[in-house]
Amino acid sequence: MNRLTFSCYSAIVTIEWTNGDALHEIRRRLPPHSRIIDAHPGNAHVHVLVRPQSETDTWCVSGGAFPNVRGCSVSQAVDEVVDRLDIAVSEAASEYVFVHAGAVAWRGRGVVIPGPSHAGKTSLVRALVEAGATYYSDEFAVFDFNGRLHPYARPLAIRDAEGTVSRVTAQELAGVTGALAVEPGLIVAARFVSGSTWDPKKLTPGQTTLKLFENAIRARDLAEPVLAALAKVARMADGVESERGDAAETARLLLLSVST
Amino acid sequence: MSASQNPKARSEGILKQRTFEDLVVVDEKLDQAHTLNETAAVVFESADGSRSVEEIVDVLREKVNGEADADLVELTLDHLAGADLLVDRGPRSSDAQRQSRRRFVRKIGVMGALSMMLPVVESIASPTKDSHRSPTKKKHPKKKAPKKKAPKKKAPKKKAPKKKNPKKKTTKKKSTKKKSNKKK
Repeated sequence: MNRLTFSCYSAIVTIEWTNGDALHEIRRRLPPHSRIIDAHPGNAHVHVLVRPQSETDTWCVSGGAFPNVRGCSVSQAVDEVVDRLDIAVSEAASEYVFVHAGAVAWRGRGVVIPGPSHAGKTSLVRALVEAGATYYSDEFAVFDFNGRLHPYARPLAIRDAEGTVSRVTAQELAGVTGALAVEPGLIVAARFVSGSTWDPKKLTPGQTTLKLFENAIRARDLAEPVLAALAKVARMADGVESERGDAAETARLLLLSVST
Repeated sequence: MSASQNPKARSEGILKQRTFEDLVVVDEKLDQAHTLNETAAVVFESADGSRSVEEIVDVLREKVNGEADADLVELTLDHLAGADLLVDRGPRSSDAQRQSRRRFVRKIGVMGALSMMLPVVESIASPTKDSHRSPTKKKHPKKKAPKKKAPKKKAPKKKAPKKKNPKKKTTKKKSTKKKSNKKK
């Protein structure tokens, strides 16, 4: 069995698969800021295993947050493993709080857009990057327990009209990817409503904490430290809420509000 | 009011976190989270079962505004009860609530700044363990393994005629429902 172990934001994940070529491909697509390590599999927080299925030329992927998936071709199994890794890291990273959010930095302060999948985070993050902000993530805002925002800069997952996802780097959008932790400056609760205009209402620190907590990965099983960390974030940053229409116009107004 | 009737905030399974004047409360038993403004926070933290409404008024006057009164405390307790944050107390009758509100609103009319003191309790359903997992997880088409022909078993010599069992169970995959995050 070939084995690949990496650490990312204090999470240690091991992947086992007899197919060395496939593991090599997975290695190319590890979560951002991952580091290959030589650790005993017993020390891993998450164990992802790909096993052959008897009497077929297919594979079964198990381990991590999702249920087992059977009947995968090699390329499907690679995609399946890669999909599991982000969630595996977000759940196992005990020294950080992962929040489902888009994130950029502007003039040294973080702008964080919490929201579930398909809430329009990536469109707004893309518009912010195109407007000059530094790219941090379109999936997770990563906070340490002092409330500082760290990058999780996978290439942006941009969906076309048919729902097909393509990965685009910040550099391909003529943008820059962030490398350093920054203090959060603005938490943006934005809901896409076609044709609406950006009309932000200020949130109290308590409301801001709740917006982050609602999208925090380990809010359930680590409620106390997660809540404490997010309250720190809310004390450092302003919180605003509004419906939004066009992403480019919203991005322009958001960056203007961070500047002033 | 006897001590047993004094308002009492729930404490079991409750996590609290201050963010300036707001209080964020996570209810681990009911899977809810709330944010309480200053008035609601002070009443929630004062309602420990040892203080009467009048004594909570005193705390509110001292910590928030000298004009606080029993109507404001009762209104706040109604909000907290509506969020399941009190022990053995539901919201009062709508008549009683309306009267408190009317009296306090009349007072606000006289002293406009008091409107800032109105209690605010906002609630959400706590995220479930699975709620962050992508709901549109793709399914890979299964390649079916060629079926092995099972060797035929010899039928027993004497056999009762088979009955069709209408209640025969079919094995279904459990659907994983995603709990809504928002609660109004």
